[in-house]
Amino acid sequence: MSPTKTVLLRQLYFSGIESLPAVVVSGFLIGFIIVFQTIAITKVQISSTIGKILVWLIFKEIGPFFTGLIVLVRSGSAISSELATMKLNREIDYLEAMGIKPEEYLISPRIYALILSTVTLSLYFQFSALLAGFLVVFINSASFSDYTSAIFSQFVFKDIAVSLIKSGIFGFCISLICIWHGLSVKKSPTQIPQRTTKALSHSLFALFAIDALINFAVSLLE
Amino acid sequence: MIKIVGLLGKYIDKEMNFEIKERLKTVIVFEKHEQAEEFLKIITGMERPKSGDVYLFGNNIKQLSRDEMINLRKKIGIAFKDGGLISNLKAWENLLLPAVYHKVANQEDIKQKAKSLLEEFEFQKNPMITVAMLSILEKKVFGIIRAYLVNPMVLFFEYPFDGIDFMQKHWLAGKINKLCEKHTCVFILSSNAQTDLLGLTDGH
Repeated sequence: MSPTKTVLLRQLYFSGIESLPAVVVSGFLIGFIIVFQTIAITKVQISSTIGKILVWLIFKEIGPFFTGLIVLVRSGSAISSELATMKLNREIDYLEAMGIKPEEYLISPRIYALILSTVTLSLYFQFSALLAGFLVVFINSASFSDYTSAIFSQFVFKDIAVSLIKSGIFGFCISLICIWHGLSVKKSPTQIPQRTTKALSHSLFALFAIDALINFAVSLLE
Repeated sequence: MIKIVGLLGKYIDKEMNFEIKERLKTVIVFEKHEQAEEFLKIITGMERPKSGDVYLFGNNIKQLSRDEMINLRKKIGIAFKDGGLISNLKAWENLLLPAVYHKVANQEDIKQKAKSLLEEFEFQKNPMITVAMLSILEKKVFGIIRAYLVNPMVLFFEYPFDGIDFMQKHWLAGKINKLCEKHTCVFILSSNAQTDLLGLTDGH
């Protein structure tokens, strides 16, 4: 296997597979809380309403955003500090001197891995939240069939596509911002935590901004 | 093979003029480590000189594109002073990285060659350890083997004897001399005294 593929697979393992438990548990808990609170606030026992709210919130908003957040905190910070350390230790220079293009060996695999991981983890998050909804419906003895049919009736291809595209863009932006900050360190090791913090805060801001932009663009199209 | 004409840089303040000839050992002594670092960057086209020209295998590197330069870098092996190993890779992965990346041979052959070189350099530990677990001498050895594995036309040694004790210097010099018997080798040393280690008295 080529070294570039190895880097890609390692990043996929770290960002995608190792983040899975955190994403699934978060998705399940958030789905559980949303449905539980919806029932508590509206006093509505109608499963179809609960289903609609859950699908709307999880697919359109919370799913991609929360997954992006988990990927940012877990992988974004790691990428930023790892690349910053490599830069300070002259390792990027060593790679270049050996004729290994850093953009091919270090940057591209990380970008591809983060895009793929964010999209896939977002699906897992959404699925876990829907499962939690089933559990709450079961606890409240509400109608399963109403809940299921409400969820399926809410599934529109466009919404799913927007949700996945949004996740992909989040993954792309997180990787790009964190890589850029990681490679921006100059000479001092004290810059590593500073750059990592900046990478996180800038990425977080980017997540909010992109989310708002995509929602605005979608509303224009509608 | 490599010709340097009137080279001056940010740190290289004395004009450099010389030619590295095939199958010969060449020694360069710099006053400061920054000068050596800059020289290697200029030779590999990673930095532009202030003035002067560098001819690499007949090509003036000023006229080469980045891709052309990267292709030429495959023909140069550099053993960096501290090994130049990549910290997030295992020691063994470091050995194979450039050779496998540039596909200099099939992976099995590269692995076999790496194993036999490790034996030649009397490396006893499991090579699948992290870079942090290697001593300075071991890092230098891994850096040398890694550079050698790409079948370079010229092999550069950046301060090979710095940071190790007297016995280790002699042991390493013996190994390097053997490796350089049939190759073009360039040594960047911190003092003229170190040329004795390489059995050289006419280094320039």
